[in-house]
Amino acid sequence: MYQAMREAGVRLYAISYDDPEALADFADAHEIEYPLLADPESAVIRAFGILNTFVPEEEAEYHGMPFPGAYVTDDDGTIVAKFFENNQIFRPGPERLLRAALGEQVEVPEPATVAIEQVEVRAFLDGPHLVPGLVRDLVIELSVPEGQHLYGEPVPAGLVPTHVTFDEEDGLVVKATEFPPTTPHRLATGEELHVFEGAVVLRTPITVLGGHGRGLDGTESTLGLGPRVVRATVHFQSCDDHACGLPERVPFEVPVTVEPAIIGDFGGPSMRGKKMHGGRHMRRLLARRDSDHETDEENRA
Amino acid sequence: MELQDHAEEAGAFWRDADGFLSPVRPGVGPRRDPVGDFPTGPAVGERLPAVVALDTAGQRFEIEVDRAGQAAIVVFHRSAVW
Repeated sequence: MYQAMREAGVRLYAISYDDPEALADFADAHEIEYPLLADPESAVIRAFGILNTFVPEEEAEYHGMPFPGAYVTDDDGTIVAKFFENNQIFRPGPERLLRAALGEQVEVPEPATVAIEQVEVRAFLDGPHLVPGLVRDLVIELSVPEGQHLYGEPVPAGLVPTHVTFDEEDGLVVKATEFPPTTPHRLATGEELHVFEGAVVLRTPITVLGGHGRGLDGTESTLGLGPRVVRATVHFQSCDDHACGLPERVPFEVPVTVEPAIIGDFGGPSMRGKKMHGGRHMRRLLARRDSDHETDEENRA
Repeated sequence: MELQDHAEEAGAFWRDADGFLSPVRPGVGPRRDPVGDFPTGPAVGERLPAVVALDTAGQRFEIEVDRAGQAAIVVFHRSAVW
């Protein structure tokens, strides 16, 4: 994915309050190709105004962490999108970040090459797999025959707006569907409708609960990992200028694999990839507590 | 700003308000997430503030210089250690 970003002319940076040594170890263990930047005094985090002020200074190993999030800028350095969530476990997937950076230049669907008589539906995950907490888009492409349209909100009474519902499944987290802009469509009666025409792409950000980790007592958890199926239904009603079809419901299944997140680790036996010296780096973070106190004492002296 | 400390015991783990499991109880240690609005820094439409940090070799690294007129994705993550 980083290669795709590079080829698209988009630079990726990750910054944290860790020491450079910890980031060097992480980059080596997980073969990270993009710059990992260290802000051990949290100067940048403070300058951005995103210091997590819930963490007291006494907890020096965690004090200095940000409210995690991401910014996307254009070539001029102007922020064009932001990704922040109340729960630090949600992270935007790289596909969502790259799409934000490229705006409308990406994922423009090919128009249907053959004339179709009825709406066709295609669904897929935008990304190779799901990871607990990592948010990726479940994409639904609707191909609407020429001369027909589907409805966006708001719809006149009696018509069905295009929308997606997901089966309630264990561990699936579904966020609000993102719709393309509607096109105004005026009927002979003068009534103006908000419609979708041609290739219509709906994106629903999803992720899964669960994960791969160890409890404080050493219990391993692999909850939710492995193959699963995302089941959803797209609802729509297609009309032309003279008549409307019946409301339709097209159910579909998207098979996906849930893989563990790459996270900092303490050398646990079942963690993925080469091991980093997590315990050593955690001890360094804990030692910030002592050095902070020494600094305080020096200041008082 | 209000601290999210909803937590349910689930074996050796804690289940948070969204259903995620974690060995750390929500509301303590690094699991200090906000409820509702919280500071998210500069707004869409503003310029990205200067980011001057250290690279993995401990050398000064400035995003504005490195990106050389390209678009940028800047991820502030929690930690590579824990």
